[in-house]
Amino acid sequence: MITINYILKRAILSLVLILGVISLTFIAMNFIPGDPAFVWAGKPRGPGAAVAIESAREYLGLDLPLHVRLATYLYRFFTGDWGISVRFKQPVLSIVVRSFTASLELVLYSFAIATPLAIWLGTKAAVSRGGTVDRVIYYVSTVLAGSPRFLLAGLLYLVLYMVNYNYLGLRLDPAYSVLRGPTGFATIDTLILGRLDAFADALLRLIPPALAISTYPLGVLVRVVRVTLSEAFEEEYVRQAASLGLARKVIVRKYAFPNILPVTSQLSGLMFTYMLIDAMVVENVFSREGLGEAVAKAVVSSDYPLLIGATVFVAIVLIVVNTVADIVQAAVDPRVRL
Amino acid sequence: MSSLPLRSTIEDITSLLTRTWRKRPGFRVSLIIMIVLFTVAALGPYIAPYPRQGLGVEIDVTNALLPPSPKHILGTDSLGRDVLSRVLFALGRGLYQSLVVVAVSLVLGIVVGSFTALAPRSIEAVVSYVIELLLALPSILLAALLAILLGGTATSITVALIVTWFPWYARVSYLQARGLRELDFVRIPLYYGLSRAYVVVKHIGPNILAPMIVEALSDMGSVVLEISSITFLFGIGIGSFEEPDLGMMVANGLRDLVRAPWVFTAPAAILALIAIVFTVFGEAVYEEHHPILRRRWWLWF
Amino acid sequence: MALVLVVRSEELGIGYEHDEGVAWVVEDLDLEVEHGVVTCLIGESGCGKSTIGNAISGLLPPYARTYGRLVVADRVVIDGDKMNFTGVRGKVVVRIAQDPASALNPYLTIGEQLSTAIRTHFPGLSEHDVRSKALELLSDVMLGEDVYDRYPHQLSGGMKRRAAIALALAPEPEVIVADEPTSALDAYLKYAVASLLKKLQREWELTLVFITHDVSIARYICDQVVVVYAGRIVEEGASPRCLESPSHPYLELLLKALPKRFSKDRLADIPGMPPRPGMYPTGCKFHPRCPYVFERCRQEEPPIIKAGDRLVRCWRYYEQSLT
Repeated sequence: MITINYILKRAILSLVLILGVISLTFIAMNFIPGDPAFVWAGKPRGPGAAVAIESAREYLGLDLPLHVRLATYLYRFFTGDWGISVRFKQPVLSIVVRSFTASLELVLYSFAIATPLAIWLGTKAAVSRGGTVDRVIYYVSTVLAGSPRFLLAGLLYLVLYMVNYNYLGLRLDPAYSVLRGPTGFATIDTLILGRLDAFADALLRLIPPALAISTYPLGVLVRVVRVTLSEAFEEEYVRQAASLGLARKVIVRKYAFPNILPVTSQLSGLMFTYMLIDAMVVENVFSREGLGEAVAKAVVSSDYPLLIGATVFVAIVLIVVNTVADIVQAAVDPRVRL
Repeated sequence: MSSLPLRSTIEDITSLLTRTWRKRPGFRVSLIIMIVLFTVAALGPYIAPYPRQGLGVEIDVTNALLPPSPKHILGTDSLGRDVLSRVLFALGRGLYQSLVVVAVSLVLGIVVGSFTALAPRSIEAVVSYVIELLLALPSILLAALLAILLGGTATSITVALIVTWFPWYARVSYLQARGLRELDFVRIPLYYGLSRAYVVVKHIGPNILAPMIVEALSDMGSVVLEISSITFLFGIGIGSFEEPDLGMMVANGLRDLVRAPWVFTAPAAILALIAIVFTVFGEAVYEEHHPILRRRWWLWF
Repeated sequence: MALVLVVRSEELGIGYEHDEGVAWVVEDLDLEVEHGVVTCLIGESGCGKSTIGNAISGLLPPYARTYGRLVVADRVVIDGDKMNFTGVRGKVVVRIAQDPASALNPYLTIGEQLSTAIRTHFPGLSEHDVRSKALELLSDVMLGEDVYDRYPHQLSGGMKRRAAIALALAPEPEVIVADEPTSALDAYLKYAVASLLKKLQREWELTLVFITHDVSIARYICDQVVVVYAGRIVEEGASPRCLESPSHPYLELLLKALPKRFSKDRLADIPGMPPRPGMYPTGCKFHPRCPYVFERCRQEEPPIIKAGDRLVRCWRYYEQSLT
């Protein structure tokens, strides 16, 4: 049972956490040895360096007292002024959002692939209970989940390359790059614009990396579903249902199954973090644009504002996602009182 | 009086481990492989056929990208370096780095968690908040940030990972310590005025540490993976291109994946092996600890 | 007078498998349950009465081992070491568990649970008919229509108990096995629930197997008494007389331990503990705690002695009946 109270509490907690993250980045910048202006300007060298550092100094207001700087810093974040990227020479926020949606698309599709499959396999394993099916599913899912994502991605890339799969690299064929949609999700935008050929192209380019990433949630969820269902079968009300002569399918579906939902939603929130990191890495293997590419370039050019922006953004997303997952979990479990 | 719960915890753990050894082949296999890995890593510098290339101080461009042969068992990479030597050195570095991260995070986490449990309510709230905060930070981005701030070296990755890992241990320790703080062997020393530090180190710490060691060992595998994901992505964490690192090697190998697959495969296979073995190890103990099938039985309805 | 036996067992044995073998909880049981009658299985905890109840309702766990025969409503459900309860669970026999709260599915409303049970056993019915049947069941257990849309956690303990009973009646079984339905309830509710069960039993012509360790409730509700000790029947007879003049020492002690009127409720108090399965003593299983024990009791297990409609397994009774 969820109440407005609970949602409000979680929302406020999230807000406080977000404030904390932003403040943390402020502390990192100002209390680590080195000149903050130098770092903010992207450690420039050569001609124009002095100018860049000076404008950074002005922007940061380093001669102002600490609390004023912190307040300005927080204010800027909340009003969308996240600075200018040193490398891309554009507002940090827009770059981060653009790159992030690309990675997010990958993560969401991975979830979409992994979750139904995991539920199906986990149920089969739990019903088989110690039989061969159970063992096979368990070991395969453990191995899959444990293998490093970039390894699987690399192997997949290699295989696809060998069979002349033409949809490797980039999110969309360059021929379609003029298409710009509202959401920033290649698959959705192409659908909205009615271009099914572009949609197919985007989808085919998306599936291999999504498959690689999906192994992690697949492995985790299969095992969790298996355990939760097995435990659910021990419940007294399942015995009662059996006593009533209900069919096995019905018992599994209506009695054992709902136990999965709270755990799954909670785990989804936690897995999101790792899947995002995986997405950043796998993108690199498949030469897709996304947060991974942006961050890699940022590190190379010491693009500090972009990195700070990316960190804060991702942290915000993670906090929000986990909060939503917790709320969903509470909503789905009728026994939870808050 | 203080060591009694500790002794029983250690007894519980040892019996759990021996049981797992007896009953689960996966555990036996993975433990053996783990020991082999650690030994090979330790001996790496001494058994590598081309130690100077392995370390990165020597390159041999004329012999670049040679397939596996008796001279170079795993072939050579794009700079002509013997892949086997590189892998051996990288394995040692990787395991060592991971060991440092896990050990420091574990100790830090237990200390922070235990202290927080004993602290007055206000501090408890603040520290919990900070821990939640740190848990929301993704390690890659933090490592990237630190790389810029500190100048990309292995240290920045290690620090970033410690910062993102210890909150997990801290949270677990905090919950455990909260359970323990009502017990006599904690309350009495505190009552008599012994410092909290003493209580944490002598009484709470060891009791929390014992059950977490197995998990920490399993976490080492994940940490190795995380580190290599970061170095794979950025090529940072290593001061230079020369030093051996599994993630970097995989990234380099990717470039020549089609022409010279061995450069990618060797480090990738080692990483996969580490990942699987450590996971199976942890899973086996966990399953033994919380068995879902106490007896072989089928669904009876 | 021909009795219709709804449940009949022949030298039934039930045990549970464990690491070192099988622990036999019930041994050589010859149980007879008459149709349309309330039969009480009385005994202390661990004597095997729950196991018997589970066997009848088809809820033995897969690590249970059996021998002998068990027939329920003319279907052979246990034959040697094989069990086959297809078509028996629900349609013929339903078990009511001790704790009603955990017997109800927390994720479904009461109405949904009732409907599912009804639909399983009456597949041809329209949705409307299913709903009216469910509402009828609710009114039979004296619950209002509003309970239909409620979740179990929204009901009080007593209401959950009644909802569980309604659920048990949904498939319209012939036999209801109630396993300690009143044990966790206070004195008032005990009798309320027992009366409700008895009323429903009469109205629906059910066979009720009432398992309990509480002899006073047994006295209140049952027609036939079966006293179980160490997995065996030690006494059996028709209710009012059997409980007024018990023949077996165990029953005698149980009755003696009953609280007097108007005093606080208390569990029966007999010195010693019932033996654990696998650790049964030789000879008569009750002899270590029996006040009338003599030499023969220690050596041989007494057979069932039939006297009229009474069955007693006791050497003392045997000796007495000879004279």
